Amino acid sequence: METNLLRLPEAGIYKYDIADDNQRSRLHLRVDEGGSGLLLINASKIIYLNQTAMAMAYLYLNKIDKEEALDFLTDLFDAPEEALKADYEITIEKIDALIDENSNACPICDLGLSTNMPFSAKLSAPYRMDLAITYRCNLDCAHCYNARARNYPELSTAEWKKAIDKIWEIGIPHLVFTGGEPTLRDDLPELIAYADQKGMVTGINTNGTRLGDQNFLDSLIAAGLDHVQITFESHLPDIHNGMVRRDFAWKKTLEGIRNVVKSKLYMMTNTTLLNNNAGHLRETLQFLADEGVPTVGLNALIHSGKGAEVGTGLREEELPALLSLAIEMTDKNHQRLIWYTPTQYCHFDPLLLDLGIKGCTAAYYNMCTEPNGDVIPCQSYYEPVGNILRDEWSEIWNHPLCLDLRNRQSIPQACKTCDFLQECGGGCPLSREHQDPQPIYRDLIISRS
Amino acid sequence: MVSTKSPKRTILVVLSILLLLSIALPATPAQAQNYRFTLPQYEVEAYLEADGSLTLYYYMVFQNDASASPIDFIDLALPYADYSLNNIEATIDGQPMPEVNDSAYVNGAELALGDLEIQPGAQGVVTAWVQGITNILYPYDGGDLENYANFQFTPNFFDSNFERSTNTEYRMTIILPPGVGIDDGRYYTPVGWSGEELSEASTTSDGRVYYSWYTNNADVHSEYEFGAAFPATAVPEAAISSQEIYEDYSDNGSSGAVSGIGQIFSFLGCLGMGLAVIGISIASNKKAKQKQTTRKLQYLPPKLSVDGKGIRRGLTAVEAGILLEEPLDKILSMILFGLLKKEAVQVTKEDPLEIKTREPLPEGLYEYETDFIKGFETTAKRDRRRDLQAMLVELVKTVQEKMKGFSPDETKAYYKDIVRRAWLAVEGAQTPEIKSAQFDHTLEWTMLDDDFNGRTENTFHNQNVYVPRWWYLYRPSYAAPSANVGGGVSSVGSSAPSSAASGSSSKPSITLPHLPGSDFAANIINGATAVSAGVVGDLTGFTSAVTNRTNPIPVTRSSSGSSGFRGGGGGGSSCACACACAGCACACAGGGR
Repeated sequence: METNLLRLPEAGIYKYDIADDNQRSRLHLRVDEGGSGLLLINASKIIYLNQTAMAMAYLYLNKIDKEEALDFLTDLFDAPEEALKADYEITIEKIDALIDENSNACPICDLGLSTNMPFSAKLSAPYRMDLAITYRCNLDCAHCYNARARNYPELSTAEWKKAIDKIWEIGIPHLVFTGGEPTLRDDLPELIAYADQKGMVTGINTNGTRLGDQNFLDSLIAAGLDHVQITFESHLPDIHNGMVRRDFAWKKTLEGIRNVVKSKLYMMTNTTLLNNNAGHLRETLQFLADEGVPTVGLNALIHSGKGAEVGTGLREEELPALLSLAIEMTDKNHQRLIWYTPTQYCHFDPLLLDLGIKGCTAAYYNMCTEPNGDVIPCQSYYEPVGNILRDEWSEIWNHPLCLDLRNRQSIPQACKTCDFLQECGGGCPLSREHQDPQPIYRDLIISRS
Repeated sequence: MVSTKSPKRTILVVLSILLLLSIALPATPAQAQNYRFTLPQYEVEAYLEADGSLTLYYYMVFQNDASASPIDFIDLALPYADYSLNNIEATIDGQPMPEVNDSAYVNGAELALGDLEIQPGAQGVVTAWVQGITNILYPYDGGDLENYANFQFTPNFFDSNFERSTNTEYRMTIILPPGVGIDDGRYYTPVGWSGEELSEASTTSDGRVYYSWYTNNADVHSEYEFGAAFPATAVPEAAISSQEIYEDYSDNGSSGAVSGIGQIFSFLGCLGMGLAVIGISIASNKKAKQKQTTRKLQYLPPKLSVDGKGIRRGLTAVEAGILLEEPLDKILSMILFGLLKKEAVQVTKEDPLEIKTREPLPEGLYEYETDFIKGFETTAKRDRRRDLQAMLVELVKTVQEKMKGFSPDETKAYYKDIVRRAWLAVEGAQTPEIKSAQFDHTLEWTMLDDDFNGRTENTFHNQNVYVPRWWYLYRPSYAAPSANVGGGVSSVGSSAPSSAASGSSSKPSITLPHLPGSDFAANIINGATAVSAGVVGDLTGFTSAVTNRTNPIPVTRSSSGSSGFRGGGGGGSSCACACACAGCACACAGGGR
């Protein structure tokens, strides 16, 4: 065993690929300057590690012989050997359980992981970078959040590769290719392959119209693509086509969904709940279940681009009934439901429906790189905070807008003193700008007794 | 003055002052201690003296979290410098630090706050002067300046698990030695700093050049690096070390301390101490050669954590009592009073306690309430105990289930604050009527207070009490109210019971016997006692029968050898725990597995 691995990890990102006949797990350790950091599992589970846990994870994932690792830890730490051994064994058991996709162990209940308050982590970079590699699109959704021209300047393939290099060096292990419509770029498989070979987990957000082309889909899979999200607005062709304003769309998208479902890719659909399609949600969900879609995503209107003016968005108060229906349907059909949109909890509290914590994570858990390399806080927030190729990451990450969003500095006054602030965060900043819902200050309420 | 970027190969200065925040409690697993604080204001001044020594001044405003442990010790470590305890002066809230001793935890001094400890929810201002720190200057090797001395410095920062600031007003100032000309000094662009490259450059009133950095959105758990350089002739030659001395901090130390010393203190959390690392003037060089150290690191057990769902709101007072691990006899009392308030039961005998169900039962009773009622339908005392224990077992499991994925510490703090506010509402009421009404309204919450008895007595000691509407159900000797009574509180009237209406003919009020406040308080307290004595009996035995069948509310254990890992059984695919999924918490259309 290489002795140079018998050390505490330096700050940076490390990748580990664990594959067998049944599954492939992509692990990343992101080590911060202080020695603590993150274990990211398939870019979908985030485990925070203190320094000791990070040291142990590093030794274990680098396949250091257990006795060597324990000798190293014993020399390093002022602790009884037995205690170190016990802690090391428990830690690697937990890591094994966490990375085993076949394990049903709950991280908290079964593995004893502790919990942090949501949105309390101090990060040096987001977990995920969305790459809007083009703003071109073959559809014309009436509610599209894209606020740029379709012919927006685009980086070349070589430039995108440099951007991917930089994103990796920053310590971001997860890329989602988006747009516009990312499949319109012929170099998409090449870019996916490039990122995959670096050790990154890649996904695409797409309208799916090109994925009916089996050869094309195969090229993405061969490149190493990990997951796909396909937008599907309604089981009714007229509704879907009406919303995306293309008559061919529904048929092509469905072909794409069917192809991807048959593949080994992790896939989900995403539906934007609007006045157009909300009334048929039950049938749409059943349709998706019948097509074998394992995971369904739902989100509300994004108040950006055409979405700011389209006027077909639902009020937050309308969401509980729809989401309760969605829960009922996906439970019945053994599907996973993901609700995306951050709302003001005083109007719609996702926790009441067990949808999990949903808050704005712009410039925090995720950011987006535009076709020209500019970095924006999220896919929908069109205010650049720097350029990925030209600017230092610290300047981008600590741009005043990023700090404002991350630290929730510009939330409504009533939100600042609300007891739900930590979890809620004041909802989506774009919604606040365009809808101006007045938050209801929620004091500590003496609960029902 | 021209700024220079930090040279690629930084010269490391060993400044061996560490400030630790420690709690002088018996060593217990870190997670049993609850350290959480912010620093709204933080100022650091580094004076480079004429003799080449360093004087450090810290001004730190601590805001201790309401549910955190008191802050009563601060450790000041000085491992690599010549120092004397006599050269350390500290204050807490303007008063001299009660004691400055040799630290038992670090190689340095311990500042003992004693009676001046910073209480939960309180603010405290701590200052520290440390003079005569040596071996902090090194030759500048940036290549562009000849015969310059280099000083680089990382101010104190705390473990982010304990220090939660996001908008600290943070100022760092480096004051160069006397005699350095205004055009001769150099400053480094700060590293990790969210503020400007330089906020201020000027001279002090005694003509010393200084550089100052300020921002109002810093925190005190991030590592910021500052530095300056000046002509070496400003200080004695001997004050400038001729040899690089550094340790690679970047591998160790949760606070970013870049020395072995820093490593030690980053692991002191295992003894229940928060970590503050101060004055480490090592700028880490990731490519620097790692220096072998023979000093072992203090050990902090491994901790793996996920983002939870935050505070579990919506628990009833009874459920909150289970979460707060209140005695089970109190829980039963709370259930009883809850049922009395809902007019679901009536006390038929006070000692030993017997109740009867009122028909029809009101709607919306909780399961534990209906099980409580059923338990009292059993007449044999042993069977009744068994049934009530079974009810409590289910109640504990319900609370455990409801808490899955939520943050236990913050949730407990949330409900403790509700109890505090409930009492504020009662004690702050301006009139006896309002006071009585508030007490009735918040009774189950106020009962959660550890000093419920004392506070009840104090609150109602010297005044009349307007007994609650349901009082007659609790004390059978009082007459029932008239069927037309409205409102929850009845006015205290004459000494004789009367059902005579007064005031409006459509909503007659009832008149109940006069009840001095002390009697009222005693009645409430005695009610709880009756439950304990008459129903529970031996509390220890009663409780054991419950806890033997329940797992405790999950608490992460971090002590070596015990991690809380239960491995197998429980949980599983239907677990309602927080999603540890990075994609789930994300905003719109995240994508991912």
